[in-house]
This record gives sequence, structure tokens and C-alpha cells, in this order.
Amino acid sequence: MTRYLSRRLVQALATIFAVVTVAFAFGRLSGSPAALLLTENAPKSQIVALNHRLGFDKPLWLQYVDYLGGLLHGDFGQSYRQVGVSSMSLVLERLPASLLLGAVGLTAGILLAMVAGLVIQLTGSRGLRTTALGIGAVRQAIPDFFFGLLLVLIFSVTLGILPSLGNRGITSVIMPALTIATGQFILYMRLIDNSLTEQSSMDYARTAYARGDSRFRVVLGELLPNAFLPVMTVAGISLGGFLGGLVIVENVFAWPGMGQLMLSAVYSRDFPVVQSGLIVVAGLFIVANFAVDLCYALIDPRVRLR
Amino acid sequence: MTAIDQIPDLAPTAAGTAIPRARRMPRIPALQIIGAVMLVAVVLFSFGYPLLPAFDPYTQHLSLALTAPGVDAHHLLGTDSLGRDEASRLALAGRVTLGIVVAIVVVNSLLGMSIGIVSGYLGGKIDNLLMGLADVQLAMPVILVLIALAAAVGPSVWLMIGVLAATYWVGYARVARSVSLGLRERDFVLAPRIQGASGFWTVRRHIVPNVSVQMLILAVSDIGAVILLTSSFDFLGLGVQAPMPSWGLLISEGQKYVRQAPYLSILPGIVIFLVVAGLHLVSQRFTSESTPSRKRSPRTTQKKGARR
Amino acid sequence: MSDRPVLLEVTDLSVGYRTEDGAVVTLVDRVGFTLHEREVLCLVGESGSGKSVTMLAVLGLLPDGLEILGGSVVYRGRDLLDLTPREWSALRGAELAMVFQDPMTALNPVKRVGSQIARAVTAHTPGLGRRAVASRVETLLADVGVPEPAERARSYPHEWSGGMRQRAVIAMAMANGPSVLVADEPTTALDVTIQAQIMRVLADARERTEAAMILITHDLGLVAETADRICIMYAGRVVETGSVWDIFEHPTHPYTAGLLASLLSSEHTGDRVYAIPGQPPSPASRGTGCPFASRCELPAKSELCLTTRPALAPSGSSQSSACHFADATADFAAEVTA
Repeated sequence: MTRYLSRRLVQALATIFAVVTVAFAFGRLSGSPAALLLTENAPKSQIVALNHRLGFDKPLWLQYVDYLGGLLHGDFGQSYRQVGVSSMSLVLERLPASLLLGAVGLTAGILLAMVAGLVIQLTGSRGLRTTALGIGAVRQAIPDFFFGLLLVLIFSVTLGILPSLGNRGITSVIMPALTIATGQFILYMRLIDNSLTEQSSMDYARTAYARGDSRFRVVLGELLPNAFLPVMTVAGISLGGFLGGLVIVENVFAWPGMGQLMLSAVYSRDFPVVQSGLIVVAGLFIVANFAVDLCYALIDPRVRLR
Repeated sequence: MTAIDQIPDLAPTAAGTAIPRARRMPRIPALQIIGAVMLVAVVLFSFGYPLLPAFDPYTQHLSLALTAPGVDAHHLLGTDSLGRDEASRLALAGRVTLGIVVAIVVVNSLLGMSIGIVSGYLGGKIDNLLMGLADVQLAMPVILVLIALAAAVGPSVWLMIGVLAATYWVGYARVARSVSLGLRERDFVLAPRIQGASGFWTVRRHIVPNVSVQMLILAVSDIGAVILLTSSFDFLGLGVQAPMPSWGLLISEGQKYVRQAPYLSILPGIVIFLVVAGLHLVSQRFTSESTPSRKRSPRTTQKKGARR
Repeated sequence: MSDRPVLLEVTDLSVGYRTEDGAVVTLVDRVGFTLHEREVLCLVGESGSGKSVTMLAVLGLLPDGLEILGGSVVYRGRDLLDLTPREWSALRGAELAMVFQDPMTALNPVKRVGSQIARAVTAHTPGLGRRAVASRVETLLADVGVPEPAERARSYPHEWSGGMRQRAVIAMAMANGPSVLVADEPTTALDVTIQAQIMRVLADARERTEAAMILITHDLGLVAETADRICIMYAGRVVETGSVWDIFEHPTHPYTAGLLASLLSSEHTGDRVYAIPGQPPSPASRGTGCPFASRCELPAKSELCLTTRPALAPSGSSQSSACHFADATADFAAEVTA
């Protein structure tokens, strides 16, 4: 366990370091940001002064060292646009909203997929499977941003029962979460269905039937824990794509999360905010993969954390 | 007790393999035909409509702004907020979107194929290096890379194409690698090598043709995914920039008028759906027939193949 | 043996599946046998002869896709083929239990061995206290010779060896003192050294619970040591049945004779003097005649064998044989075993 933790820690630090370095390199691609930040006909002296304040007049390697040193002291750089405000605090302010939406959407999607997979397995209905797969395929052909828009059209514009934009209480989370959940649903439904079908032909399932367990009990008690293992693996692997989808959905519904913040930072060319956002995302990645490892070891006794 | 095989274990004909697992969906060619029709309709419209005299995607008629479809005979699909002809904008957007997507897929499949073949055929350290690179790229969400670069140098359509071209080849490389890895040991590849044929000749004569088929299959089923991806980027303002239209951008523009003129976002949305669903229906045939393992769980099977 | 009351009677049981174009392929064809109380019946046959499928059908455990095409399975006067899933659950594990071939896969890998055996107890004795269940599991494990049962019950299957796992599976099967135990090649997947131990455990368990056993095997050596009666299966049919003594002494079917010949020769000289030529027909290509005809070396064999399927008919004091020339088999048997 100690070996596992220290290995994980080293990996995490390496990941963060890589992200930080790449982000730094990206940030200097455009040269000095002062020209972008000031009005077009700003006097030269002003540009020089701003460059000096931001440290852009130093050699590149020194800027890098300064930046790394800052990180060690918890200084992630100030926002270009909101002078004096730490870029990291802007990001962290938005983190809870993103986590809420992401967690609700993903959990709903996986639960929905699990219920569908279990019902298909328990009823043994081929029609049900074909229907679910068909609906999933249709949903997959609709991009998230358009699906979100359709929801707005139906529930906000036509029916007027849900708020279309922003975060105004609990009802606001419904449509964005639904967009995410339906998008994730098909991925996990297919996986759980395949996985349950595979498990149901295993010998241990027959053993369970032979000792007198009902189908319901075998599927839920015996097959499901085994079938859930690949779900976690895929959840871990597809986290990147999931976070990308989150950025899109947040912007469709003007959900005040990190994705929206980062995108508006792109428009206003506020690079430090994007940089801090990337670091937080890398952190999320690390935490999520760690959680997947722990859950895996918790469910499957054959897995030892090493 | 003697467990000798006095009764020979003969081919497991009865109980073992003959149990039918009729889980595959029945192959209905009708679905493929519907898919092809959906696809052809969109492509015909996108490339045919600009040949008509009515094609005019840029002229603004502010007095006709937000005309609903079917009201004005000159603007059958209505007009946008600046009074531009929606049908023309849609067709142009189709050409732009499809052009970009095809370019990205072509670049990626060629890049992925080359890298995969080199990796699989040469093996060893180069293989480790290239596949390590592929692993790193797989872990990076494309959208975040694009956001970071767009924040640094400003969003543009070339940036989007560049980022996708640089990252999206991994899937192709994986498949190309495992195919050429498998071929490398086969007799018809091995025999000429032993007789002194050059590596380049072997690759061109045997490996490239075999891999190309796989690449083509992958590319066809990939186009839909790339359309969804680039449209999302366009929608977010990270790809195609106004005034040039693209499907994603049209939806984003239409979103502002979702109450007054919902057709502005619905029409391009339907077009995207038609293409992606059509491609899915068409490509399902050969993805399920030629690479059955991919359907089950593409990630694990690919990974296994890549790791060996 | 046959003076004991009948426990299980299988009559004309057929199992098969439908192909995509609607044709029916028969895997088990009108199989019948009787099991008396406390008796050991061996189902003997090659892989693919339908012996496992027969028993899975009897226990209602057929995999998806396979279906029962006809016949009856009567256990203590009830036709099992009419049971509802709920009635099946009540019966399986309580009165009919099964031990499977591969102990490595027969246990759920993510659950503790003890809890899996406990489930067999609670499935038929609901409302039993946790303590009582735990001590019952301990007793069951101790009965099948698992050392330190309390401790081992808390571990997972992957921490157990194959032989130990098979003991656990047997403990699970015996948990409710079943009347019928079906053992499907219980030692095939195990090391030779472990096989004898497991057969010993099975014998002890039967003695304790007075259960009758149906042993599926292709190992005639095992049959000679264990069985009261034998049922020889070939290509989905019963070709010969009778007491173990009669069949080993004077087989009345050329297939049985061939099997015995290959067993005897290998035991005495190490060489196989006789081997049955050819291979059994696949389920889809079993014609109307005797399925063994193409491999049969009986001199008396005739045109009749290719056209008409022989029915099972009495061929000795305890025996029945599905051969048109059962009478002529004795000479053939003597010749091939010589």
C-alpha cells in the first residue's frame, strides 16, 4: 500500500509538472501579452511598463523558474483582466458548480444505464435491448450542444417549466445534467449490457442458480459486482472526453462553472486563468483515477494496490 | 483411479460450440439504405445548392431579417438575423464543415497509418517511443489543448485543424500497428524478407494494402465523430470564425434567437444529425463484420493489441 | 438396487436449439433413465455425447438458446418441466444439488467463500441468525475436509487451490442435505493426486446425507469404482444401460465393448490394443439410422443399421441395449478385449 501510494504520488507530481510546463510553453507562444491587453494605440512606454510588471522582460528560462517558484508558494499568477485577483481563486470559485453538474450528470447517466442494463438482463427481452440501443444511437448522433438547445426549446420556450440559463436553484441543474446523462447513458448501457451478458454465462452464475438463487438475486447479487468492474475502468479512461463535454454543456446553459470561465478567458485572452484551469483539471484527473483504483480494489479482492 | 483419455476428447461439436448465441442484431440492409439516403441528401444539398442561381450566403437584406421558412419564395428556408438566405448559409456551412472534417480525417489516417506501420513493423525502441507518445495524447482531452492554445494565440479555424491533426491520429496508429504487427510474422511477408526483399518493398507490397483497408473502415466510421467534435468547437467559437458559416457556428448564432426563430438552430442541427446518423448506419455494416472485437469494448481490445 | 424406491425418472427427454433459419438441431435425443434412492448412476460418454446437457436440462439450468423439445423429468412424483422459476428455486440446492466440472470458475471471484456457502444455507432456511449460519458454514467446510474452516471462510476464492475450491463447491451442494447430487466430471479439472481425495470427499458426503448421485464422467476407471448402475451415452442417445457388473462383464452394445476394450488394454499392457475408429457425428448430421453405424466394427452389422434407429430394448438381466444385433455383441466384445 505504501509502495502504491508513493508511486501514485510520483505519478501525480510528474503529471502536474508536465501540465504546468506545457501550459507555460503555450502561454509564451504568443510572445508578450501586453500588446494584446492594452488598447491598440497605447504608448510604447505603457507596453514596456506592463511587460515589466508581468515579468515578460526577463529571459524565458528565468520566467519559467519564477513561475515554478511561484507555484510552490501557492502563487498561480494573477488574472490579466482582473488585476490583483489570483487566477487560481477565480478557477476554484467555479469548481463547485462544475463538480456538481458533472457528478449529477455522470451519476444519473450511469444509474440510468445500470437500470436499463439490469431490466434488459432480468427480462431477457431482445426488443427492449434493441430499443435502448436504438435510442442511444439516435442520441449519439445529436451533438451535446444541439441536444441542450432542443431541451431549452421544449422545456423553457415551449412549455416554460424550466429556467433556460444560468444557475437559479435546483431546477437549473436538470437540463444540463440531462444533456450529460443522456450522452453518457449509451456508452455505459452498452458496456453494462455486454458485461452482464458475459458474466451471465460464467460458471459461478450457474453455481448460484444451482444452490437455489432466483434470477433477480443472481443478476443483482452475483453478476452486477463483476460487471461493474469494466464500468469503472472505462469511467476512468473516458474522464477526459467527459470533462470536454462538460465545457460544452456549461456554455450552452451558461452554467457558471470552470468550463464557462475558461472559455470566456479564451475570448478575453486571459491566459493565467486558463493555465490555472488546466492545473485544476489535471488535479481532478489524478484524484479520479486514484478513486477508480480504490473502488476497483474494494470490489475485486484479486486486485492489490501495488 | 486412471484419468487416462480412454475416450478421446473429440471435437466439441455438440454442447460446447453449437450453442447459438443469437445476440447479434439482425442485419437489415434497409437501415443501410436509409443511412445512405440521409448522407447523400446532405452532401447533394451542400454541394449542389451552390450551383443554383439562388445561392447567396453573404448578401444582407435587413428588411427581411428572421423570415421564417416557407414564407418567402426566394428564401425557402428563411433568413437569419441579418436577412441572409438560410439555405445558402446551410449549404456553404456544409461545404466548410465537410471539407474541414474530411481534411482532418485524411491527414490523421495517413499520419496514423505511417506511425502505426513504422511502430509495428520496426518494433523495439521506436515502437515503445511512439506508443508512449500515443498514450500521452490519449490522456489529453483535445478540447483542453485547444482551449489552452486558443487562449495563447487566439482562436482560429487553422488552430483547430492543427490541433486535431496533431492529436487525432492515435486511434489509427493503434490499429495500423496491430495489423502490421500481425502481418509481420505471417509467411507471405516473412518469405520475401528471407529471400532478400527490402523492408520498404515488403511494407509497400504487403503491409500498406492490408492496413489501408482497415484505415478506410476506421475513417468512415470516424467522420461522424469528427463532425460532432469540430461542430462543438465551432459552436464554442474555437473553430470556424464568422462570417464564414459552419453547422456548429450556425447553431451558435441561432441560439441567440431561439425564441423568435428556432429554425435557425434547428435546421443545422437536423443536418448534423442526418450526416452523423447516416454515417453510423452505413458504417455499421463493415465495422461489425470486419472488426467484431472493436464493437465489444474498443479500448481494452486495442490496448491489449498495442501492448503486446 | 432396483428394489429401492424411484427418486428421479427421466423419460424421452430431448434437448436442442433452433438455428437462425428455423431448423431444430437435437443435442439430446429421447434420453431416459431412472435413479433410485441412495444409488450411484454414472452417465458415461465422450465430450459432446450430451451427458452434461441432459443433466443441465434435468436441473433446469440449460443455457440461453437451448430448449427442452420433449419428454418428462419426474422427481418424487412431480414433473420438473412444469415448475415455475419460484418452485425451481425452492427445489434446486435443497433437494437437487450440483457440483460442476471446473472449481476454478465455479465460485464468484469477488465474494468470500464463506458467504457463498452461507447463501446456499440461507436460500432455503431464511431467517437463520448470522451466528447460526456462520457455524453451519464452518461445519460444512469441516465436513469436506477444509482445515481451519472459520478462517478460510473469510478468504476469497483466488486464495484457494483448485482442490480446496472443489471441496467448497461440494460443501455448498451438500448444505441442505439434498436427495440427488449431480456431479459433472468433478475431478477432470484437477491434478491426478487430488482427484482421489475429491472422490473420497464426495463419497463421505453422500454417506452422511444418504443422497443418490448421478456422476457424469468419461473415465471408466472411476465408473468401476463408484457406480451402481451405468448409462452409456453416444451422440445424444442412451445406447446401453445396466448394472455396473453386467456391463463390465458382458457389454451388449458394440460402442460399450469398444470403450471397455480400450480401457482394459491400456491398463494391462500400457498400450492401447483397441481404439474405436472415426469420430462421432455432429448433432446436425445424425441421420435416421444408428448413429454409431459408421464407426461400428461389429461383423453382424447390416443395411438395417444405416436406415433404422435401434430402440433401447432389454438385452440381459439388468441391461438394455440400443443395438439391432445386441446378441452378437458378446463375441465381438470377447474378440476386441482379447
